[in-house]
Amino acid sequence: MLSSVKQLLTDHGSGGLFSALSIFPKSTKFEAQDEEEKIILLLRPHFVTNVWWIILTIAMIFVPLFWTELPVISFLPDNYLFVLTLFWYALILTFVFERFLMWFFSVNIVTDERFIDVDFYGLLFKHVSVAQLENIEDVNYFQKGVMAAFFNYGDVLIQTAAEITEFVFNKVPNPEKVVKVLSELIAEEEREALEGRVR
Amino acid sequence: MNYLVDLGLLSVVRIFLWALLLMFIIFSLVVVRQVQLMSRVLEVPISGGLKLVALGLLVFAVGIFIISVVVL
Repeated sequence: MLSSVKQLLTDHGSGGLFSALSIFPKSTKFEAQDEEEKIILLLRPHFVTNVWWIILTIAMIFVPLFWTELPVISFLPDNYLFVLTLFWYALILTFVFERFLMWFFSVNIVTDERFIDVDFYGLLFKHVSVAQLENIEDVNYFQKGVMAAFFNYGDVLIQTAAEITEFVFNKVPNPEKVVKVLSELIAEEEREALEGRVR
Repeated sequence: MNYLVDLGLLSVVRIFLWALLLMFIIFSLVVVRQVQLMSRVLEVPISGGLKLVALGLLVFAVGIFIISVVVL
């Protein structure tokens, strides 16, 4: 059933665990996945979208070297500076971990039956939207900016007839291919419906 | 006189640091819980590793608090 989709993706490797575009990812499951349901694409924002916080982290690492230059802190004795430095590095570690989690778990999943958009906003709020492939009315993508053009990522927009009418897969790599795969899956769903093979 | 002012100021800084560290411990607990919830939404082979990292951060946060109580 998925051979046509596989054909579309032959020139692309399956993608590793940390890939922003995983094809038929192994050992990956999502909440409420049906037994027979297969994950075709697992998408995250392109890795290059993480560069801003990586640069910020590198800059933050060197801040304690300038403690004594800061008037508010310079008067503190060494033991206070020691604790403050430990705290600072703990904050950096937490920041890096939190940013990684946001990137790693905010995914778009395309299966052979539906697509799922999981968004985490900060650590305390998540938003999960699901729509059936048969409800898709229109799929398109756009790339904006030099970075998007250079690294080939963009936003995939999906219009549906479902309750939520618009889904956006943010900054996913190779958006053209994602749109092609989605179009192929929609066509396959239509063929299934015509032939009465609907699960 | 200046010494007494400094001493008072240091007490304020110490209490402020302890309060920050306590809040950081609570935040680390939230991170541990959040990783559990995230791993439920998406099960991946490294889920166990991520939980360990979150626990490590919590231990680190508690460790810094203990160090601060001893050192300050």
